[in-house]
Amino acid sequence: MTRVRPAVLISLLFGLVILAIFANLSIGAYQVSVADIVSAFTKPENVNPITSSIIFDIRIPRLILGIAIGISLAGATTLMQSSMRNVLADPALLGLAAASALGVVVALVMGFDFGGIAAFLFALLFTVAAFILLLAGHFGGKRTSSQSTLLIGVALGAFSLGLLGVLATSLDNPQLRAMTLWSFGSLSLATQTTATVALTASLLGITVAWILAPKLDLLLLGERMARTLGVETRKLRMISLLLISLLVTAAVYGAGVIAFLGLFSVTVARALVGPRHRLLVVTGSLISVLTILVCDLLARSIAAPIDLPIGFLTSLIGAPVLITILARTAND
Amino acid sequence: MTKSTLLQLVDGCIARDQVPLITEVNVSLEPGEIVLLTGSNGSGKSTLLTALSGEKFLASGTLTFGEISRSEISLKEMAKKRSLMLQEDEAVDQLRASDVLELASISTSVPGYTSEFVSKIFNSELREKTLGTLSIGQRTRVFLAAAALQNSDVMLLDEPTAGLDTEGISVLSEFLKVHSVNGHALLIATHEDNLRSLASREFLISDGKLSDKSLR
Repeated sequence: MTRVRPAVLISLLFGLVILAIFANLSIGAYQVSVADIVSAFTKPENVNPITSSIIFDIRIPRLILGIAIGISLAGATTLMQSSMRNVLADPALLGLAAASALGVVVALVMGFDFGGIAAFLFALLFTVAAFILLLAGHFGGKRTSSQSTLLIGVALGAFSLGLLGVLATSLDNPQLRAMTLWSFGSLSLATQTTATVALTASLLGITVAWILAPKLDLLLLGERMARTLGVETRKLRMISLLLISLLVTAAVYGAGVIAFLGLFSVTVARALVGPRHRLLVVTGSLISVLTILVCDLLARSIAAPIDLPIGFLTSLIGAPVLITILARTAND
Repeated sequence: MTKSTLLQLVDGCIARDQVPLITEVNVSLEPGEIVLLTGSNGSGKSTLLTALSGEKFLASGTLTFGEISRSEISLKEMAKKRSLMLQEDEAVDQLRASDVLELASISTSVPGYTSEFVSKIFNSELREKTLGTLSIGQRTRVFLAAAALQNSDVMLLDEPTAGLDTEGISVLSEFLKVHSVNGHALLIATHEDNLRSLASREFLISDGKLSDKSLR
């Protein structure tokens, strides 16, 4: 695939994201005009309280959570792919997202609130533990094989979701209903707290990734050459592990397991701008945010007033595009 | 060891998967010398080069870079002491050739003859190409340029002429000659006569031992 000029691509994606943000604030079961959105920020006294509440209590948390998830999944996927040297690595595919979700459910069963800090910390802890298991399988064998890692990840994910299902039965009814929605990935449970925590964690994670990018780039030359050029690759992998866990948790704790989004956006971004990390993380994040916002819009409108889990939409759009790209690169 | 020795291994045992491959290895590389490394296929030339780079395969022995021993030197400092180019790189195919050069340029300044060598061996048509689309010889050119840009005291090269055409080989041997005259040391595993003629010593691996003979 021919590479495009990064400045043009990034400006274009940025413009589309801005459009998508306005569309997401405006369109829904209750239509809000763009003029009202602008006034809600500039002259709040001129906007009727219902409109204002819809914008600030429902749509903005949902929008912010979506943006945070987009950024974190693109960041986590990029880092996973380079530290595992596998372009098919993805937090959902390799079971990390499910482990993170299990962490949240364990916190709920222990009596903590959904969306609270305890739930976040439990999710983080479970993700780190799952990642260590996955890496032990990946690097523990005599030879690393992407197939066996993939299978370990799939098994890890299935186990986590199984346990999650069993544990969830001990929750009371409204929570159980929420968890069912949530395990398919849904932005409908967004609150100001979840949105704020997820955005903070995702921005923190992506900033550290940006700082590490030059060293991660050296890893593209191969482990041995990176070390020959002075990179402490083991230390770099340890930091990546923590960073990936933080980003996966940021993505999962507010909205559950959203399949394919990370793999899809990073694969498309790499085909467009190549593997260097700064460009890849920025482009991948923009594609991911754009995709999640478009999917959310569809999730709210195609079967309105039913709010479909967004994970359905990301799978429906992400999977075919991904198959096409992989088939094309395989033929190159 | 003379004060200026750039790389030295005393009483080394080179092993792979806990099986000793070469024992009682005593090696030292002085500024300005080009040393050949020979031995039959599978005798452990690449393994020895990797071990001398301080990476792995060194089961026992004392490895020093200049005045500092391996156990006391950071990877960052080591990057200034030696570069290593093996026959097969592990770089991802989507990287562009120019990315490799940019990433390998860790030295703040390189001598003029190195820049000249890089511009000859890394011709401009390689620039925008991704590694996956290069031929073996072109890929060799990219990683030779990268190793030269690292500008370290010692260059450890494993079959650096793989896939190179005659023009490439002569550009390389001219560079190696000037590089050694400028106080760098080179250890090269090669079968190429143009490079052999530059060497003053030869390390020969046979029956799990390393012998050192003068070629002058």
